[in-house]
Amino acid sequence: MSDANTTDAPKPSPALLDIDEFNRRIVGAYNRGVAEKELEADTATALSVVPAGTAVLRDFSYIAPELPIYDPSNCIACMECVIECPDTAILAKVVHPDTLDEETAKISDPDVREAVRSRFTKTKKYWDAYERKEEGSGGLFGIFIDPTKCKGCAECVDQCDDFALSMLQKTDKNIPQYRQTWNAYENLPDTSPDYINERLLTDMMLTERTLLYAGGAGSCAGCGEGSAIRMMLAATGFKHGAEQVGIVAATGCNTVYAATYPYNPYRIPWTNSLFENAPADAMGIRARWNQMGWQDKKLWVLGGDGAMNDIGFQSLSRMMLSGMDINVLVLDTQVYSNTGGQASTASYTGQNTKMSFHGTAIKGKTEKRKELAQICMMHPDVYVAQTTCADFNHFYKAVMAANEYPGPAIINVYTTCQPEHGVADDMASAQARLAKESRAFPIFIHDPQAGDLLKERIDLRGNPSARADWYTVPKTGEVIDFITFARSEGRFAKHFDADGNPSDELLAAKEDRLRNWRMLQELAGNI
Amino acid sequence: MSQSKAESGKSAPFPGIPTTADGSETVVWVETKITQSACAYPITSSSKMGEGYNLAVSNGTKNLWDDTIIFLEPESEHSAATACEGFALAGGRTTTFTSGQGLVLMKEVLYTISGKGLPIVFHIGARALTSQSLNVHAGHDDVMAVADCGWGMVFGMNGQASGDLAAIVRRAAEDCGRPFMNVQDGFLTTHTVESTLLAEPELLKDFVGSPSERLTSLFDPHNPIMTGTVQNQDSYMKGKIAQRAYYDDMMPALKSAMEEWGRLTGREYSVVEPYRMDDAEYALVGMGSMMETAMASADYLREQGKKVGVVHVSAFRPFPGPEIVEALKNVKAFAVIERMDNPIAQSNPLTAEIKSSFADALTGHAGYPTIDTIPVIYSGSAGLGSRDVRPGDFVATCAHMWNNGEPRYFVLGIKHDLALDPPFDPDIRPTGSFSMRGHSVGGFGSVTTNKVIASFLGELGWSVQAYPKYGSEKKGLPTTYFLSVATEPIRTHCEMNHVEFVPLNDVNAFQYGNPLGGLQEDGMLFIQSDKTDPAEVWSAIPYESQEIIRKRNIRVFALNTVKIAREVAPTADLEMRMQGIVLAGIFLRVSPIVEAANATKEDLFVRIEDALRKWFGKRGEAVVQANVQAVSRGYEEVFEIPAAIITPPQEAEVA
Amino acid sequence: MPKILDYVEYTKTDDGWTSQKIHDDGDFVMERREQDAIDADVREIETGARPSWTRLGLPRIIVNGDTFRARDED
Ligand SMILES: Cc1ncc(C[n+]2csc(CCOP(=O)(O)OP(=O)(O)O)c2C)c(N)n1
Ligand code: SF4
Ligand code: SF4
Ligand code: SF4
Repeated sequence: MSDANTTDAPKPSPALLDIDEFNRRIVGAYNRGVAEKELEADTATALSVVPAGTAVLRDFSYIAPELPIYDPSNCIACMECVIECPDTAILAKVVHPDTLDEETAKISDPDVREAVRSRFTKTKKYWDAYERKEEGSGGLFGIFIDPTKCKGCAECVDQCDDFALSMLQKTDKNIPQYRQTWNAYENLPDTSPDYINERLLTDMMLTERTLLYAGGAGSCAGCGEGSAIRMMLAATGFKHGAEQVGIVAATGCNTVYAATYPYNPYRIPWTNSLFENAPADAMGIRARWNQMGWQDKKLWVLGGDGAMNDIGFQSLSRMMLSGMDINVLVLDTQVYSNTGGQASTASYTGQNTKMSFHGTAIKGKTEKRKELAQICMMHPDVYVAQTTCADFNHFYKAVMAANEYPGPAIINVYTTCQPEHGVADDMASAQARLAKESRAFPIFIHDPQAGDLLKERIDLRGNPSARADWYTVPKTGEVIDFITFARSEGRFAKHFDADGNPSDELLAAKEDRLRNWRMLQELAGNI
Repeated sequence: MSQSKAESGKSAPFPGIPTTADGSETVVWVETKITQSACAYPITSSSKMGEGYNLAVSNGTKNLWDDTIIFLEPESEHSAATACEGFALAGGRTTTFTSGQGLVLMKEVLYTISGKGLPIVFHIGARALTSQSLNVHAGHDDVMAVADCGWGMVFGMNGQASGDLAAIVRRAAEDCGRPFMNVQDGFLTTHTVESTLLAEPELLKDFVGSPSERLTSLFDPHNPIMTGTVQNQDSYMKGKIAQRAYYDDMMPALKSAMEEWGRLTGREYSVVEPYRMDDAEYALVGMGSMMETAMASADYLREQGKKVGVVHVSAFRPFPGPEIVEALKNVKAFAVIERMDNPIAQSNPLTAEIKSSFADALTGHAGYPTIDTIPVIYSGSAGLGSRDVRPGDFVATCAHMWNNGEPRYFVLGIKHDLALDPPFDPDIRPTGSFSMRGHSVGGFGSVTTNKVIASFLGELGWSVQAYPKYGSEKKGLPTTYFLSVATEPIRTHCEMNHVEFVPLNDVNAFQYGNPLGGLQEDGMLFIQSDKTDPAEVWSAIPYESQEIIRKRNIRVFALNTVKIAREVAPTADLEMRMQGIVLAGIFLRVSPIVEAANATKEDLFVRIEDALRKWFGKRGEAVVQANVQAVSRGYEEVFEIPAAIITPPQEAEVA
Repeated sequence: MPKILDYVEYTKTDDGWTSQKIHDDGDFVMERREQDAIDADVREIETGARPSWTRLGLPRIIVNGDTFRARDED
C-alpha cells in the first residue's frame, strides 16, 4: 500500500449481479430441470457471469448409491477425511459441550437433535488434551456429511485408518435424515479459534474461511484434482483470509467441472480465458492489482499438465521470468483428461493413452516424460514444489511457502484421474502415495531463498529412503519400484503378461524413472 | 481531409496542438495519457507504438489521473492480448499494438475479450499476412481475418485520424462495453510524419473520463464472481444471441463519440466519409490511407470535368450498410478498392458487404434507404504489401468505370491480365509543393534527417509529409526517402514521382537505375562527392544523366558529407550515422522553401537546434552540438557546379 | 475398494459386549474400539432404542445373532 506507484485507491466494484435473483431464477430453474426450456435468452446469459458459490445449491443426493456413515466412537479427529474429500462433502466442527447444548436445544425435531448430538465425541486431540490443561475447556469433535454434495467415492473411508467411516446404502429414509442433520450442522457456530492450533495444518479445514471451494462441482467421483484445488485454497484462505485470493484457470477438466453454467463452487473471483494463456492472463491481473496497491493479494493459476507442459508452456515460462507474485498449481494427471485422456508430454513411457495407444506395433507412449518441475527450477528465482495431496503436510507447506514467496511459485501436484489411470474412485490418495514411493513422481521443494547452491535449495525429504534407488518397505522387505506402481493401474495393464511379467517397454520406463530420481538425488546432493 | 479538419477546428474549443508526427506517435500520445497499461509484443510495423509507450513507462510517465503507467512485454501476441484481458478484467484500462501475424495469433483471445465484454482498444498497423510470402508492409488481410471476433473496427486515413480515433473508440468502447480496433496502414500511416494536431490533455481527460469511474473489476476478491464459464445446449445459444443487445449499442456509441469529438475539436469523423459525392456519377470506395490519395485524385478528375467522388468507409465494424447505400445509391458505378485478395470468396470482404447491403436495400430490408436499382459494382485489389497505389491507378479505375469496362474485378499497380494500365500519372500535389526524394544507404542517418527536416519545416508552419521507403533488409543497403512541403495539406500517400530535389547520399545511386526519374524542370540535384573541384564532380556523373540534367535545366550541388561527419562526430560509432544530417544544412541552403520563410541564418539555426534537440536530446548535449555543427557546415560548405561546367559555352552555341 | 457396511453387530461375550462393523458381504470387518461407547450403545438397545450414532443412516443392527428392530421401526 505504501508503494510509490500506487495512486488510485481501488474502490470495491459495484455488485454486478443480484445474487439472490440469480440463485432464485437461474439456479432455481436449473435445479428444477426446467432451465433449458424456460429461461429466456437474456443478457444475464450473455454476460455468462456467475456469482460466487452457486454450486452449493446443487443436489447430488441421487447420483451415487452410497454415502459415508460415521461412527464417532472410533474417530480420533485426524481430519484426513475432511482434507481429502474432493467435493467438500464431509466436514468437521469442534464445539464446547455448553455451546452444543445451547445450540441443539434450538432443534425442534428430537431425532435430528439426537442425531446431531450423538455425532460429537470426546477425542484425545480436542477433549483430553484441553481438559488436561484446563478443566471445562475441552471440545467435542464431530464429522458431518452433506448428502447433496457427496458423490460416494469413498475416498474419505479410504483415508480413515481408524475405521470410523464406512459407506452405507442410501435409502428413502436415510437421505432426508442426512439432509436435516447437515442443515443443523450448518447452523452450529464456526469452530472457535481456541480449538485451532495454527501450527497444526490438519486443523485448517475446521474454519469457515478455508472452505473457498464448496461442493457441487461436476468432477468425477473421487477426482484427485478437486482435492488439490480445495487444499490449495484452504491453506491460502487460512493464512491470508478469504478476500485475499483469486484464481485464473486454464481450460481443462478443472474449468469444465467447476464452471459449467450456472454452478460455481468457488467463493473467490475466478476466471478462465483459454487453454494456453492462463499465466499471461494472470500477469495482466497482477499488473493491475499491483497498480491498485493489492500487492498482498494472492493470485493462483490452475492448469493441467497439458496446459502447462505443452500448449501453455511458453506462457508459463514467460511468466516465471516476470518476477511477478503469481503462484501456479499444476494439476498433473499425466494426460489431457478433459478431452478424454490423450497423451501429454507428462505421460509416462509405456502409458496406454489415446493418441499414444498400446497396439500390436507400438506399445503405448514411446517418449519419456517431461519433468516440468525440474524445468521450472532452472528459471531464475522461482519457488518450485512437486508434491501430492496424500502428503498433505508437504502439500500445505508448499502452498504456504508459495504464498509467502514474493515471486513466481510453481507447484506441480500429482492428481489421480480415475477414468484415465484406470483406478478405483477411492484411490486418489493411495495412488498418489504409491506414485511417490515408486519414484514415478518424487516429491521435492526447491526454495530459491534456501541457499546459493542447488543442493541447499532442493529438499527431497518426504520421499521414503531418499538416498536409495528404490524404497524397500521395512516390515515386508517388498521393493517398491515403478513396476509396482504400474501393476496397480489400468493404464499399464497391457504391459503385463499372463504371469504378471512386465514388458521390455515397461522396464525401459522403470529405467527412465530411476534416472530421473537419480538426477534429483544428484541435484539435491543426496548422492 | 485531416488538414481541412484542422482548418475548421480553429474555432472549436479544443483546436489541437500543432506538431509533426507519424501515426504511431499520435496513438502513443493519446494512449500514454488515457490508459493505465499496455501489453505488447514486437511486430513490424506496430512495434514503434509499443516502443513509444514503453519509453514513456521507462520515464515514469503518469496518465491523466496520476496512475504510473505500466508496460508488459509477454512472449507472444497471444499472451500480449491475454495480459490485456487480465488487466481489463481486473478493471484496468489497457491497450496493445500489433499487426499482421501478430494479430492473427491473437485471434483466439479476441473472442474471449469481446465475449467477456471488456472494452479494450487495440491499435493495428495493418500488414499483409504471410499467405504468399512474408511481407512487413501494409495490407488488410490481417484485419479482415479478425473482422468477425466481436470487435468494433475503424480505419484512419492518416496519422491525424489514427490519433483522434484512438480517443473516439476508447470512448465508444467503454460506452457500449465492447472492444474496438483502431486500424491504420502499416508504415504508410504508422511511419509517415505529417503535420498533425494532437489532442489537448484536458480534452482527453474529459472526453474519455477516468478509468476508475468508467470501468468495473470482474476480478475482485471483495466481490467474487466467475467469468469465462462453460455453457452447454441449455444456455450457450441463448447467451450468444442475447449478446446482440450489447452490439446494438455499438453503432450509436461510435456515432455519438464521433459527433462529440467533432464538436469539441472541429475534426469531424463519421462511420462513412463521403467526399464530393453530392453529384458524383462514379465513386471510389475503400478504407485507409489510399483513400486520401483517391480524394486528391478525384479533385484532379473533377478539374477534367469528370463527376467523381470518394467514399471512405471508416467503420468496418459495426458495418454501416445503410450509410454506405445512402452515400452510393445515386452513382452510375463505383469501384471498391481493397488492400487484399481472397480469390475464392464471393468478393473481397468490403465489396461483399457492400453488395449485400445493396441487396438488402433493393429488397426493402428495414433500416435501409429505398432504391430501385443497384449501381454497377466494380471491385479492385491494390496496394498489397504496400505496392504503390498512385493517382494514375485511380484515373485508370475511373476510366474503366465510365467505359463500362470488363472485367468487374481488376487489380492495380502490377502487370497482369486483370490489371488496369494507368493512361498517365498526374501530379496531384498541392500547387507550389516542393518534394524531395533522397537516395541513401541504410545506416547513414538519412531517414532521421528526413524527419528532422520535416519537423523543422512543420514548425515553420508548412504542411509536411515525410517517410522512407522501408524494405525488410537491414543496414548497408540502398534506401529511398521522401519529403514533401506545401502550403496546403498533402493528401497523396504514394511514392513521389514528381520531385524538385534529389539528394544522392549514396555515391553509387547512378549505378542502380535512374535517380533522376521524376525530377522536375529547374529542379535540383545534390551529389555526395569526395571531390572539391566542381569540374571533377561533374565529370563523375554518367553521360546519360548529364544529358538529363542539361535538358531539364537542373542545378547540381555537391559536398563531401562523409568528411564532415567524420570531423564532427563525437564518437567513432556516429561517423557513419552522421553523414545524413549534413544534408539538413544543404536542404536549408538550397530549398526555396526556407528562402520563402525570409529568415536569417541565425534565426534558422536557433530553430534547427531546437529541432535537433527534440530528436537527439536524449543522447546528450555533445551529440546535439555535433549535429548542429554538421548541419551548419552543410549549410556553409555546399557548393554548386557552375552552369558553365554543365553546359560549356561552345556546346551551348552548338546546341 | 469401497467398504460398504452390511450391518453393525453387538455380541455379548464372557469379557463383556463387543461390537464390529461387517462390510462387503462379510469380507471386511471393522473393530469398534471404545468400550464405553459400546456399553452405552447396548444400554440404548436394551431400552428398545437404536444406538444413537446409528440413528443417522439406519444401518442394520444384529444383536447376538438376531436382527434388532427399534421400538419405532417397523
Ligand atoms: C487451443 C486449444 N486446443 C485444444 C483445446 C481442447 N482442450 C481443452 S482442455 C484440453 C486438455 C486439458 O488437459 P490438461 O491441461 O492436462 O488438463 P486436465 O483436463 O488433464 O486437467 C484440451 C486438449 C482447447 N480448449 N484449446
Ligand atoms: S464419499 Fe467421497 S464425496 Fe462423499 S464424503 Fe467421502 S470423500 Fe467426500
Ligand atoms: S479420518 Fe476417520 S478418524 Fe480421522 S477425522 Fe475422519 S472419521 Fe475421524
Ligand atoms: S476426468 Fe480425471 S481429472 Fe477430469 S474430473 Fe474426472 S477424474 Fe478429475
